[in-house]
Amino acid sequence: MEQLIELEVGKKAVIRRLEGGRRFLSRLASLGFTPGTPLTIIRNSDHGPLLVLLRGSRVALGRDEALNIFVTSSSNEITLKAPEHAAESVTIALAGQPNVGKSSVFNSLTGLNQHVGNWTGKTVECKEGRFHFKDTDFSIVDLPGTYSLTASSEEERLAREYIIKENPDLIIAVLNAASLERSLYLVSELLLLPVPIVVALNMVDVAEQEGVQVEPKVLEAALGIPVVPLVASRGIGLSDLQDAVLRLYHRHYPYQPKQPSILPAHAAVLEKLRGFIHSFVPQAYPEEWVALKLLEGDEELTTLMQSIMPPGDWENVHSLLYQHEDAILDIAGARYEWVARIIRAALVEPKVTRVGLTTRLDKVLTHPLWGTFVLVAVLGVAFILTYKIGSPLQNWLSHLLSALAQMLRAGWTTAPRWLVEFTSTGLLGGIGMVLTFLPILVIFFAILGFLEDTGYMARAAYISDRWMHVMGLHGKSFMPILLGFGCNVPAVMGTRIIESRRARLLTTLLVPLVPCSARLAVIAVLASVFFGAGAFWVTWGLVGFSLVVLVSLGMVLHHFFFENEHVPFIMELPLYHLPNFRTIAIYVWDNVLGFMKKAGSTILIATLIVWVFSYLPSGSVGTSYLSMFGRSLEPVGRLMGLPWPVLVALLTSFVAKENTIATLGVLYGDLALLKSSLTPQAALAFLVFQILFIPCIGTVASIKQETRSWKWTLTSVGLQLALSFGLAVAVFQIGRLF
Amino acid sequence: MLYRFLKLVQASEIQSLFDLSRALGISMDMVLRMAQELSSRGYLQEMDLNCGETNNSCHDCSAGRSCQVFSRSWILTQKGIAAVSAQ
Repeated sequence: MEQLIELEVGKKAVIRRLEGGRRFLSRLASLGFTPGTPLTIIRNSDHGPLLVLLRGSRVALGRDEALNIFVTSSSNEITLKAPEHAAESVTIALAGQPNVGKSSVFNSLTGLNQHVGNWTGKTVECKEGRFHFKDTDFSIVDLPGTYSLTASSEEERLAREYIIKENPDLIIAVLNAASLERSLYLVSELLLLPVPIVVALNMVDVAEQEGVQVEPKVLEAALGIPVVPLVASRGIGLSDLQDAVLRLYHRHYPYQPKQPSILPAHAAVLEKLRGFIHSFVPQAYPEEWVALKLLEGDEELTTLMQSIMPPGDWENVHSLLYQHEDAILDIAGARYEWVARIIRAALVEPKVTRVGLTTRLDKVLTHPLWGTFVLVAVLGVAFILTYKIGSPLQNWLSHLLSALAQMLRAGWTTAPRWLVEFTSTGLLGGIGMVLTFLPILVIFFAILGFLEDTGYMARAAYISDRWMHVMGLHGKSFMPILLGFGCNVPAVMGTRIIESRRARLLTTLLVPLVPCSARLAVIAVLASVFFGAGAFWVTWGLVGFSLVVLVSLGMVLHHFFFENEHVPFIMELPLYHLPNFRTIAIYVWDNVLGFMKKAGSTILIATLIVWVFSYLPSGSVGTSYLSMFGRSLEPVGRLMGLPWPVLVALLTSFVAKENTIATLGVLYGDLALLKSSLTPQAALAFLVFQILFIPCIGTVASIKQETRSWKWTLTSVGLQLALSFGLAVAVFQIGRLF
Repeated sequence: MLYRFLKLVQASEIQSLFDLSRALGISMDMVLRMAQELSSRGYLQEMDLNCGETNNSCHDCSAGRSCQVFSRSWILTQKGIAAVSAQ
């Protein structure tokens, strides 16, 4: 930006800022010096007044006055260079949202007679073209696709600047008949500008294919402007469109646009606002539109008017806008009502489409009662499929590994004993056993991927939210809890979105109680080992049980801490669609790869440590250091009917949940031995202990990081240890009564 | 209509866009647009839970994509609550 006085003769510039007292600014404004106005320097000698060409007039300006006018030279200007066209031709701006077939309309109208427009300072391209119809030349500019005219993007700025500053004779608003609601919002904004509009209702063929029927005549009557149905890609309706444009240009059409209404209260505010800004609105801008945009909080126009108006005058505007800050809710709300009203009038009730199908399915799937039944059934089917397909494969792999270990022990006689034991027990028994999870995991993630890809998972979240409300978890607490079903670590990190420290800490306490996918996989394998054909019911019951514990603890915490916490919440439920098997395959692969990485790093290291301590000092588990430590836990284990290897396995799950299986593999060699060492009551107690046991070290580290408090971290771990132990003891002791 | 939208959200704590579209008598597409508009003006806040600040550390996470958020969600902000109360 530079002072006007610095410009050389012949230089073109645009006024950006004016400084000085109110009277001085008013005088400049009356001469046409307002921000945004282009000018050319005609004379600028060292002495004497400047002579500038402004708005077609020559204006002389004192040098002192010129010092207060700041400009940008045209090379940096963001204004639009008008397309070159014959003076007698009709200029048309083609406006519309992206993907409404605007380019098809443009190409069909102009053919090869088009080129990319030269819009100085703009990065967005605009095409210009020409066509001839009934002895009239038309020049047409294809504006960038925009959803509205709020100037929130470069495209929107260019579109509205062109319409305001280049003042085209007409606008053709291209609408997609298949998604009329969205297209109409832009029309509601275009109608506020003082340029006549013809609506090109494009893609009527696509709309019909999708079961959407629009009645053009009714739409025309509702809008009060010409509406022409089109299939631009096939050239259908183009001559009707050209005819409508010509008739409107020659005013042979009763043009009576029906704009969205404005509440009387806001109309009075707008009048007052117009009074304040009247002397300062740049010439090209419609005053009423500027006032409305200011009331809507349009940032660009607010900045522009603030830079133009003297501080005292701007203060009046600012104060009025501040008092009516929420006016946007009425103004934009009226536009949505206007759109809805027009849709109700012009749209024939569509037959079942993807939207219609979603609506019908959601009546059942998001219903509080039926939706819950479906969710439970879906969960059941997921477990049935996991067990029916995954468990036989897992058993087969497990037997294969046991056989391999036996063969190693029997056949590898030349190697040192420790190496044979390490390979057969440590590697095959530990890591190998964890890898037998893979069939179960693949099935499990394939089902999750399928449910997600069809759009059902969002419904599952929505339905489970109702249960979260029972325990008083509202809004921002809901998402972290939901994330916990995948992995507790991001779930704990997700509590950052909760502003209230108390709510955040309490949500952090609840997150580790959510059974993550690793816990579920461990439970799936162990239930299969202990309960065979009944594993499905046990797993289903355990998941339900852990959710009951979560809800119960949540209710207790809510009763004491969460009261009056109220954060309303909205969720998007995507349209249902047929699953894409490639997407599901990628989902499964990502998750399996992650599991393999974990097995090859964290689980492997933990397994080796367990093996070393189970081997030293005598080479026998029964007399190892691990056994000495494990036996010290036996008094605790007896309360749940659990032998020390099971307790040690539980403790190693602190590193990663899957370590339970690896450690059991190392200590028992064959999981069949494990089954025979536990009564059914003890096995059930073990599973309860496992599903509610303290979270993995990654989650604990996240809790410490998020709470920045050892007290809260230890409270979280202690609470879960007490809960899991207490409930496991209760399950075993009650089970013994039967 | 935007006031009605906010009132509905505040009244029942949780709403799906589907619930809102049914209550307002407009399409979900339109409701989504309204949610985005209210979000841009500070009456709603869209929750970004796609691992947010932990983006980089999640790249090699063994949990893979199992923690991903599969739908967008919004909460009513204090500005939204105040606007509804003031009406």
